[in-house]
Amino acid sequence: MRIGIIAEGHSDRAVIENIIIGITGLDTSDFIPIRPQYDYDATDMAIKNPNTFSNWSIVREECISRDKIEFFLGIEEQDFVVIHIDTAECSEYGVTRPVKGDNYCELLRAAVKDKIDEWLEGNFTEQILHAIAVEETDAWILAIYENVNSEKYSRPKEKLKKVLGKRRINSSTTYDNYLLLSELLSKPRAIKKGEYLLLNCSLRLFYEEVQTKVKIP
Amino acid sequence: MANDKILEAQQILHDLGLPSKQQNKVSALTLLALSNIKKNDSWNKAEKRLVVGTKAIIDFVNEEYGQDYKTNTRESFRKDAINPFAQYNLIEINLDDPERSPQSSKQSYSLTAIALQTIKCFNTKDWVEALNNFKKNQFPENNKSTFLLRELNISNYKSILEDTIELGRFNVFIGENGCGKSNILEALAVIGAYKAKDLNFEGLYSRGVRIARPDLMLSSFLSLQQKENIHIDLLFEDDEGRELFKSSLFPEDPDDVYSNWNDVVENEEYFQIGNILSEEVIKANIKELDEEQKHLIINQIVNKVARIYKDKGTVNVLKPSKYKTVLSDYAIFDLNTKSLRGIAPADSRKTPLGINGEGLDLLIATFNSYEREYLKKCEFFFGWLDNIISDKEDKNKLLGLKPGRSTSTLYFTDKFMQKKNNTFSAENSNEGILHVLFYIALFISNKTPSLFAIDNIETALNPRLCQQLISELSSLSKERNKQVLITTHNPAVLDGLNLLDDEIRLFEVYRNSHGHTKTRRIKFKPNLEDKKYKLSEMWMKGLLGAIPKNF
Repeated sequence: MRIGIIAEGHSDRAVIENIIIGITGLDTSDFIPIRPQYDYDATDMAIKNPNTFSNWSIVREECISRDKIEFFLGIEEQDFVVIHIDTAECSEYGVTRPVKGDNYCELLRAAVKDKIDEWLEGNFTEQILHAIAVEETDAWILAIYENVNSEKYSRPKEKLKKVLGKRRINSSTTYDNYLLLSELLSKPRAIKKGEYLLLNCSLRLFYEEVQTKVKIP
Repeated sequence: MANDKILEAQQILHDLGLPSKQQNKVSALTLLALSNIKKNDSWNKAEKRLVVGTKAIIDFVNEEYGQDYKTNTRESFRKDAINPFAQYNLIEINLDDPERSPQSSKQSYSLTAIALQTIKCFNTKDWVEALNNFKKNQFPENNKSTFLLRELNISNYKSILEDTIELGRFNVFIGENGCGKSNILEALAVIGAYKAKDLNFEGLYSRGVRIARPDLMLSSFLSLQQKENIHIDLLFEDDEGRELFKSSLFPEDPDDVYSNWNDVVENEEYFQIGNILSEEVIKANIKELDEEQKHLIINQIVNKVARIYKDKGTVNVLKPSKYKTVLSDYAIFDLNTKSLRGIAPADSRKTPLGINGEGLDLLIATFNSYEREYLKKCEFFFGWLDNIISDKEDKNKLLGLKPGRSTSTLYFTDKFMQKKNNTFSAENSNEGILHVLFYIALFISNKTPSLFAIDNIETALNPRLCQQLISELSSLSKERNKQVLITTHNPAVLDGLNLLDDEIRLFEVYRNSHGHTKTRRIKFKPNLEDKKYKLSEMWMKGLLGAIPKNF
């Protein structure tokens, strides 16, 4: 099986791959990044604003056009597409944050999921896996390195950097490094032992969605 | 009326693909005589009859067509008609007595069955179909048995720890650089070299294998102990069934680049045969046996061996395999323009075509009319191309048409240039046509391997040309019973593949998280209604994988 990933960045993709590997037993080679950069040549890139290529707008663009998702899913054994988006900038893409309370995380994730489904106009319901991180995927990694509820951080990326810095662990945001940093998310025993899913609601909800939808023959 | 019939005979000879010299009046009259067609007969009355001597032909045309050929014109009939007709399989000579001397005045001539069957259709609606049938079956060697290598399982060869590939007839492999595409092609060459008893430095090199010390040809991955054998299992299929070909090759000295290799499977077979035969028993008794008893013993041995292999759950691998030659002939073609031009020393001793493009001129020079007809497909690819010339005697060299460095006797004429200045040698022609011509020749020739590989087929070719060429080659592979494995880095190649045809297959080659080379088939899901993107676009947009992920 192959799973396509539309993610805001390489590091986000690495974390998502580890989570799915832990559930399904797939290999990193089973993931295919679907990236807007592939649509453009060097001249286009020079014309465009470089910021265009690393935020939520690319995710929205792919969802609205839907072409790549459709043709990716048109190939045998390519059955799912992960759509990743952080909630950190949700107000910019039209999602109003719920009032902080017990169900804040669930409600915020649900609102962003609705927004993604709205962009997709209700298509591919069963094939889309919503990797919605409250606030950033770094919060999912924090669950590994801090035995506290990682949802509470409003800037998880900065927090993770500090936590890793204290432990003298490399925090560079490359694909390979984030694959290493989040490796324990690919180990079901470690997840259970560390109770990572209890430490981050949006991680748990993504985990559960993958468990429910992806069945490896 | 007589002239009309002669003109019709000339038309037939033209349509059958005979050269213009064999479309003259003498040839036409000979055809009429051999078919026993008189001026008022329709062609469906043509019959197979034995004509003894050219004098009988002359008598027939003089009598039936009012001609006045003297007996001293017999040589013209032989030279213009009889000999070329035999060469083109229109007639058989001495069917009644194959031992008869070629100098005998009693030589007999008769139409071949296929020529007769074709001629009878002239002036009917079936003519075109009959012609196609004739050209396809005119030369028996054009019809090869159909087979396919259906499954290829490779273990422990370079970056391939274990992988199984279900092949079609026309197979294209894509993947990022260093993913192991060429290793797949090489594994087949290794087994081919072994089957040809040629598994040594020279045998591997001439088949296109990048040679390394044996311990570097065996997979060597972190945290895994290196195994001693390369396992290659091949499953062939033809109309008669399937045949499994198992091999387990090991080097005598893993540290010696010139080491000999052996096959464990084959050794086991010999061992088992040895047990069954009981050498001393046979030696002691075989001379005493009469023919019937010998026959009985041989049958018993064969049956026992068959039982052993049935128990082992394998197909009868002991039987001398018809696929041995197929594997021995296998090579990986990786063209080099200098070799195609005939100005590089021949690196490959494979015949008729070397792996870098050597020998193209000689192969084309030996093409029969059927193959020649196919070669005309090149004109479709190159608008300027007027003709492809094989200058067997290298006369053009003396005319100064090539500087002299090139050993190739291949020439092209350009339809836009003045006749006196329109001939170009392989050395002077553009590289694209040499590459295309090589591939077309490789696919259409009777003499080239039935199973082969092409590494980096796109070299020197315009993207649009790539697309058209691939489309053409995939058709030719079916028509000419060739099976091919192709690697490419050019997306345009993919646009020539019709993936809805199950025999045309596209594979992604990749390395998994442990670095092992793996392969997966890229296939559309059923019910594909609309495909907005071309395959090349899908590849470039990253929807098929087979591209680097890190940038």
